[in-house]
Amino acid sequence: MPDSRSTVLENRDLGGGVWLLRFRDPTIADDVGPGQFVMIACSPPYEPLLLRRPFSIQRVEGDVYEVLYRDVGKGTHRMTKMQVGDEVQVLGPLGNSFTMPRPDETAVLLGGGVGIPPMVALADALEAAGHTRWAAYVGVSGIVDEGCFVGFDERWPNDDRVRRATMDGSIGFEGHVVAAWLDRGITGPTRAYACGPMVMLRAVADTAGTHDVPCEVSVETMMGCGVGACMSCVIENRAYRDGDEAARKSMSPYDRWLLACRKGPVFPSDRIVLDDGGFLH
Amino acid sequence: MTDLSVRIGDVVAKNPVMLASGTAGYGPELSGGLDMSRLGGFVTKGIAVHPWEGNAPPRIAETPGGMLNAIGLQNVGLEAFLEDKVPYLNRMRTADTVVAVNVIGKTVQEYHDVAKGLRGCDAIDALELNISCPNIKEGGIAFGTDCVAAAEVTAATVEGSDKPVWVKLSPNVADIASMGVAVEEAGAAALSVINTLLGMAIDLEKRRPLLSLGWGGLSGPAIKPVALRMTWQVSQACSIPVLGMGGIRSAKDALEFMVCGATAVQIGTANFANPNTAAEVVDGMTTWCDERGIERISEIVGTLNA
Ligand SMILES: Cc1cc2nc3c(=O)[nH]c(=O)nc-3n(C[C@H](O)[C@H](O)[C@H](O)COP(=O)(O)OP(=O)(O)OC[C@H]3O[C@@H](n4cnc5c(N)ncnc54)[C@H](O)[C@@H]3O)c2cc1C
Ligand SMILES: Cc1cc2nc3c(=O)[nH]c(=O)nc-3n(C[C@H](O)[C@H](O)[C@H](O)COP(=O)(O)O)c2cc1C
Ligand code: FES
Repeated sequence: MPDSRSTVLENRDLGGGVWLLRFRDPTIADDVGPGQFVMIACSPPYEPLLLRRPFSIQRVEGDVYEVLYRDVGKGTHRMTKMQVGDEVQVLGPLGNSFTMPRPDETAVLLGGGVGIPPMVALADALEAAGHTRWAAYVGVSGIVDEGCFVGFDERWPNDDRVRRATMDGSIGFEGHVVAAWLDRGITGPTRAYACGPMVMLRAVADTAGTHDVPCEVSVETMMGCGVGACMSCVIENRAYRDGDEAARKSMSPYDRWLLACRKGPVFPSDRIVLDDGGFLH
Repeated sequence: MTDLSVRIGDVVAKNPVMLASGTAGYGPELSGGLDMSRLGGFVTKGIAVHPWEGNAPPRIAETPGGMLNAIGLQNVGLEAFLEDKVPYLNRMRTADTVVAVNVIGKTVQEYHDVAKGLRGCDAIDALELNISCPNIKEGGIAFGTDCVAAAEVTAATVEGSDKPVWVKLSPNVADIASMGVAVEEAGAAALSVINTLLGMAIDLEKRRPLLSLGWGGLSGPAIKPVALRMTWQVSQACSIPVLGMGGIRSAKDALEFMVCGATAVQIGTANFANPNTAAEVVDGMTTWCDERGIERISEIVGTLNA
C-alpha cells in the first residue's frame, strides 16, 4: 500500500456535478480488489487543504485506474480542477474487498449515486472470474445524475443484467434500487452487495435479512488517514450494541467501534449498525 | 554531515524527528508510506490499563489549516498492547528508533498501573503521559489543567515506572510554564508541548456540531503559532528537555521549534496529508544545517534571539 504519484489521464465532467478521473499509475493499479479505495491528495501538500479524501476504485485496466466522484465540497471541488498530465499523490489500494459468491449463487449488486463505482469493480471482478450470474440495480435521483451510470454504460451498455433506476422515473425503473430488485424478484441462491447512502444500505440490509440473503455493504465514513492510524473512520459493531450482557462482557470495549478503513470498507451487513446519526447523508 | 542526534535526558535519538501520539497508530499503520527506520522516535497511541471504546462518530472534522478530533482514546488496553503491539515496536527499536508509549488513565491509580505493567518491557524507551484525560475522581476536569493534579499523576507514574517519564502538557491552561514547572518538580524527565487545543465546528444548516461529542481537539498548521509560543515559554521556565509539536509539516517548521527551545519535535496531523512528512523533515534538516555549517543540530536548541 505505497504512497505513489498518479498521473491524470482524463478528468471528465459528466454533468450534474459528477466527474470521472482516470489515472495512470502502475503501482496502484497493480493489484486491486473490488471494494478497495484510494486516498487522494486533492491539493499540493503545502496548500491549506490538509486531509486526503477517500474514493472507491471503479475500474482498473492495465496500469490505468479510475474513480467517479461528485463535487460536494472543498476537496472534490479541487479535484474538478485537476488537469491532464498533473501528478497527484495517491495512497492505495486500501481496505478490504467483497467476498466472491459461490458458483451457484446469483450476485445482486446494488449501487446508489456515487456508491455505484464499487459495484462496477465487483461486476468486473465477477466477469474476470467467469461468474456471469450477476444482476446490477443501480440508481440515482434523476436524469441529471445520469453520469453515475457511466461505469455500467461503458462496459455493459445493452445488458439485461443491468437495471437502471431513478426516483423520478426519468430513466429506467421508477423508484429506488431495492424496489427495482424486488420487482424482478429473488429466485434461487442469492448473495447481495451494496454501496450507497446509509438509508439505502439499511433498506438493502433489511431486505436481505428478510429473504435470508447473505449481504455485504461498503460504508463511507469520515476518514482521516485511510490506513488505521487515526481511528476516525469507525462504524458500530452490531454484536456489541445488540448483544446481551454476557455477549458484551465477552467482548473488549475496544471492539465496539470498527475501523472502516482497515476492517472495511466492506462488512457483512448484519455485522454493523447502519446508522450514522444523520451526520453524513 | 551534520550530527542530527539529540539527547532527551538519558534517551539518545539518532535524529530529533518523532511521530506524535494518536497519528501513527502502534507503528505498522504508517509503514506503507514511510520508512519507519528514518525516524528518530515514535510515540504510540494512548494506552490505558483497560480497553476504552472511544466516542461515537463523526470523530473528525477538517477546519481551516487544521482538524478537530474527538477520538475518545479508543485503545486496546495494556494486556492486548503487550501481546499484539510490542513485537512491532521491538523491530523499531532494532532500527534504532526511540519508542515511547503514550499513557492515559481516568484516575491517578490507572496511570500508575500502566507504568507498572510496562516495567521490564525492553521495546520501550520512555513513557509519555497524556494528562489531557478527564480525572473522574475530580468531576472530569482534565489532570492537565491543574498543577496539583498534574504533579500528582506524574509522581505516581514515575514511582511505578522503570523508564523516563515524559509529560505531555495541555495548552488549554492560562499559564503553561507553571504546569511545566509543577511536573518537572514531580519527576518528569521531559515535557511534550503541546497537546490539542479545544475547539468546535458546526454545520450551519443543520445547526449541529460536526463532531458527535460537540467539540474536539484542534491540531495542524493552525495551532503552530500557539505551540511555538508555549514551547518557548516552557523551555525558558524549565530545565528538562522539551519535545515541541503542533502544526509541523516541514523541516523549517521543525527547526523553528528547536530554536524556540525544543530538543526534539513530533509530527502529528501532517502524517495524514503526507505519510512521508517525517522523512522529508529529516532530509530538510540535514540540508539546512549543512548549508549553514552547523556540525551538531543540538547547537541550535534554544538559540532564539529574544
Ligand atoms: C471508502 C470510501 C469510498 C468513497 N468513494 C467515493 C466515490 O467513489 N465517489 C464519491 O464521490 N465519493 C466517495 N466517497 C465519499 C467522499 O470521500 C467524500 O464525498 C469526500 O471526502 C468529500 O470531500 P470534500 O472535501 O469535497 O467535502 P467536504 O468539504 O469535506 O464536505 C462536504 C460535504 O461532504 C460530506 N462528506 C465528507 N466526507 C464524506 C464521506 N467520507 N462520505 C460522505 N460524505 C462526506 C460532508 O459531510 C459535507 O456535507 C467515499 C468515501 C469513503 C470513505
Ligand atoms: C487524530 C488524533 C489523535 C490523537 N491522539 C492522541 C493521543 O492518543 N494521545 C496524545 O497524547 N495526543 C494525541 N493527539 C495529539 C497529537 O499527538 C499532537 O499533540 C497534536 O495533534 C499537535 O500536533 P500536530 O499539529 O502535528 O498534529 C492526537 C491528535 C490527533 C490529530
Ligand atoms: S481513516 Fe484513519 S483509522 Fe481509518
